[in-house]
Amino acid sequence: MRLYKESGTKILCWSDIDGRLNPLGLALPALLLIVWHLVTVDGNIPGYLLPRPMEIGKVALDFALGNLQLTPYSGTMLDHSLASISRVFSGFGLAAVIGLPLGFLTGRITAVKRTIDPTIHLFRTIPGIGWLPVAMVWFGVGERTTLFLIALAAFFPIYVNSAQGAASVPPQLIWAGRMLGANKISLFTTIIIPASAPAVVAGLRLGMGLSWAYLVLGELTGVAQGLGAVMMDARMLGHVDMIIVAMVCIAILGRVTDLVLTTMFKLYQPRAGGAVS
Amino acid sequence: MKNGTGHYLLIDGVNKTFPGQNGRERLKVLDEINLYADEGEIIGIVGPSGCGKSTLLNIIAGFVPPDRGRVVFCGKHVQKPSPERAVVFQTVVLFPWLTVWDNISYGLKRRGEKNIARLVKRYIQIVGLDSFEYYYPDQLSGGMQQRVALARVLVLNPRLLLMDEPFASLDALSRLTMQQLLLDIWQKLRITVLFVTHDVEEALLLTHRIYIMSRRPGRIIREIQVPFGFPRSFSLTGTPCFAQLKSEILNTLILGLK
Ligand SMILES: Nc1ncnc2c1ncn2[C@@H]1O[C@H](COP(=O)(O)OP(=O)(O)OP(=O)(O)O)[C@@H](O)[C@H]1O
Ligand SMILES: [Mg+2]
Repeated sequence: MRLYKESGTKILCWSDIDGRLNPLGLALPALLLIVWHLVTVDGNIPGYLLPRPMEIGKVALDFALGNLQLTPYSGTMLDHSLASISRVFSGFGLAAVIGLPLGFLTGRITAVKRTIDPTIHLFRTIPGIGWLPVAMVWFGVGERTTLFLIALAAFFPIYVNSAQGAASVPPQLIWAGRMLGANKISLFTTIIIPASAPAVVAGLRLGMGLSWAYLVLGELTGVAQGLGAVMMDARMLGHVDMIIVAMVCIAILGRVTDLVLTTMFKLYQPRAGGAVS
Repeated sequence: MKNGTGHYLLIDGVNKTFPGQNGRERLKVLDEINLYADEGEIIGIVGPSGCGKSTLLNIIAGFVPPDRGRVVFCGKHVQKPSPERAVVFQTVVLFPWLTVWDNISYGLKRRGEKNIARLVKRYIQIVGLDSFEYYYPDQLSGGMQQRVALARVLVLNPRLLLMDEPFASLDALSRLTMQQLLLDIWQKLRITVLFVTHDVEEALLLTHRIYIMSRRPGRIIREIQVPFGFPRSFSLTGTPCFAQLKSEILNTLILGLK
């Protein structure tokens, strides 16, 4: 039995919040696949520019299972993916460990905001890619540059959103907490954190998205393993199919990490309203 | 308990101004407010919109400090909020991420109470929310939300209940039910209540004494003793004495607007 309105707008995805499939959401990718198939099936577009969807499927399968030996990357999907995932997690983790506390401090304490916020926003105006040359000078190509780029790029949305979320907790909620006997610490853990959680999660999701973007950028500079490395390498060997497969892998992994974040949030706060899809 | 001031709650010469917007001069909101409440009394505060009633309640609760004057409660100078001075806000302020049950047990947990379940159950029953324990605030009607807000503070057994137009946004019928609920609760607990309202009938129905405020800057312009005995019920509103007091208060309010 439900009384009154069900709050929380449902944002449709391929599968709905309650797990049901959303046919409309699937229609567009299906249509794209069909068009792709139709324009490539008669060989008008050469395979080295845009391979057929069926080819891509085969290469992807081989990349995962190594059963067909179609490319030099046959059967290495797990290794490359794990390398990329661990970079994303380290970089993103670093950004969160620094960004969340700083964001909350800026959001709640005016003195901290006045001290660090202007400088952080100054650095924020530098585009992430603009850091690449200097990062390569400082950290060399590859591993550490990638971590630096990811952490830097993910830091800003995490910091900005948690600061904004913490700052906009309605004063009356805080009054209510103090009136009900909360001390400084419990006020923070039982009111400020849950009240700003939707904004914080929005920041984490943006940060996670950027992490995947900057992962590829960093890996392109040269790492032994990783999906970005596969893409760079496959370009030199003329394997467009492999480039596309790596792109698909990143898309899927990006979506999965996003789902992990939103699911964790729903477990933490089942009734957060429409803030998270 | 009454040491020093002689009253359970004493508001002594309280003044409050707010910074003016866009460089204008400061807004004077409360002007030399003096009032008191004795233990077990229900005190009404009526006044026109914007006269500073909520501001006064926020000062008594300890949320904001007065510019001048002081609030003395049980002999102690009020300086910060405390569970012994409970507030039911003008707009419902529940924790939207917590269920009814968790909202009501919030204060008990902060206090480190042992018997949480028994107390929460009892107060859920008193405000009539049985079987809604696991609902979230946004799944409840306005009246039900205000019941949760009431249970959330009553469960802490406060010594003073500050209510800021708690029923103003309810429809006439729910308002009547809630007023009756408050009267029933008072019969049981004999708790001291400061009840802010701009509904004169509500003030007459619920309180022992009424302070009337002028328009901003709010001053107390009159104090009225309500002569009706307890227990009370809604039928009181039909009596001639009630009607006469009502028009007297309304006249004072209108004078206070000038
Ligand atoms: N934080 C604030 N900053 C500046 N001005 C404020 C602030 N809070 C209240 N005021 C002003 O103080 C005056 C009194 O506000 P208050 O909310 O106490 O009125 P009220 O008597 O409760 O009115 P109502 O019956 O409409 O609730 C208003 O003019 C309001 O604009
Ligand atoms: Mg008010």
